[in-house]
Amino acid sequence: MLGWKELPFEVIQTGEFYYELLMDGRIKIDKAKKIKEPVTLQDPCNIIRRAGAAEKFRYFVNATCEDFRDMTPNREHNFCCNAGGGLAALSNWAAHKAKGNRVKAEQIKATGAKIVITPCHNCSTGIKDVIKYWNLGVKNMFFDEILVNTMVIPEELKAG
Amino acid sequence: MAVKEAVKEKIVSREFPEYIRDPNPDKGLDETIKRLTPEKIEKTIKAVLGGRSARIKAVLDTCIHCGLCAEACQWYLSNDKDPTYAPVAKMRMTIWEMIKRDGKVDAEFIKQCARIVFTECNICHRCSMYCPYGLDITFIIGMVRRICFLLGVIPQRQLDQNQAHIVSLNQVWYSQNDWLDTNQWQEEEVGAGFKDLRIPIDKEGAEAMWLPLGAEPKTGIYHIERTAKIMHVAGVDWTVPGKDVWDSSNMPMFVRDFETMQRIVRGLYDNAARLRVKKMVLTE
Repeated sequence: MLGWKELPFEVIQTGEFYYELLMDGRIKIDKAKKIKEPVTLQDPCNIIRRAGAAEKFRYFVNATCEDFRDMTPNREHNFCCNAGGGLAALSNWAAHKAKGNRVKAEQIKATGAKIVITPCHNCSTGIKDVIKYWNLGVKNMFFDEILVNTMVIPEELKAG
Repeated sequence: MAVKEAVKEKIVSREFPEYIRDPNPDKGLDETIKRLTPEKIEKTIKAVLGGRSARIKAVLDTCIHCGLCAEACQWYLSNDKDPTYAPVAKMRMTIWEMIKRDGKVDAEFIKQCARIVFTECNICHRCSMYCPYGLDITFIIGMVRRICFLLGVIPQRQLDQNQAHIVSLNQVWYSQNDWLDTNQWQEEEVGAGFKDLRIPIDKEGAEAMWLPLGAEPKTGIYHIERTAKIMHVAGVDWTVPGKDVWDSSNMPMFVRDFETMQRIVRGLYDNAARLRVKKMVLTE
């Protein structure tokens, strides 16, 4: 693409980058701070089905959360959040979209999780619509939020 | 579940009476079709589908209408297995009809196509995995989106966001000033709690170039805050680009505005090449 046969740099998603930071030991997780509530993970179509980051994301979630419950089906067989393909912008179609994703609501409910982790903002939009419309009573969290809440912050880096 | 849809009149398709939907007013579909003429529609369809490429033929001529894709689609499953939500039906009601009628379709038909391809398919690619031939159904949906986009028949909010991309190369109409200012303000804000915390702008040779979703610096500022903390704690040599393009979302790709789509991708890659970074880290 764009004149390069092979790109001179890697293109990765933030979740994949966090996985690398954990694997390299550059970020350490404080075991006491790990998320205790049951969590489940929304597999984003483009990053999972088309780019294959499923296992990296599972490593991340297991490293930061104590009780991870996969949706069924999962990984590359997971259902879309229904905000993909540019539908995230269609807030005036919200009911139509949420109704069209009853399977996602059923999937989330079946896991019994209290938190749905979304690796990308787009999925977050879709999942929030589903949670609201189907009254699932669960929370939505991002990767960065989880990492900031569970990582070890060395004293010497803090100000004052 | 009891939701507010009481006695609304349903929309019933003229061509496909089994296609029944609730009305959902959208200026981008309802008003724009008034500008269309039969000539314009035919010309546009032929321009996109005219010299039918092998890629299009491969899908249209190989499909045996088995319907296995239906079970793969969350729209179909969620709407009590209504066959009009099946991926194969979405092709049948749009591109096959256009080809069958040699592009001679009217404005109302285009509106129906736009509703199908823009609001009832997420291009999630799951159907292709369940197709016994692995046909790229979403590519065909994309071709129909292209036709609708060129005709200007596209849900208003998708068009709005696309316009933002055309003008500012990000989805929130941010100027370069807004973007730089947001990063510097966050550096001060987050930096107050840490020693030597930086949000480096335009740093050459950095390990990672972080590219947010456009909405993040505008309405999700906490993402910049968290990212700065993570990068600082991990000791990553990172940077954000000081010039366009920095928004990693791409609405033009979804609405098949190929010209703007490639300007965005090119801008992102040019930034990475200019700064000689090792990794592009995108939030989307």
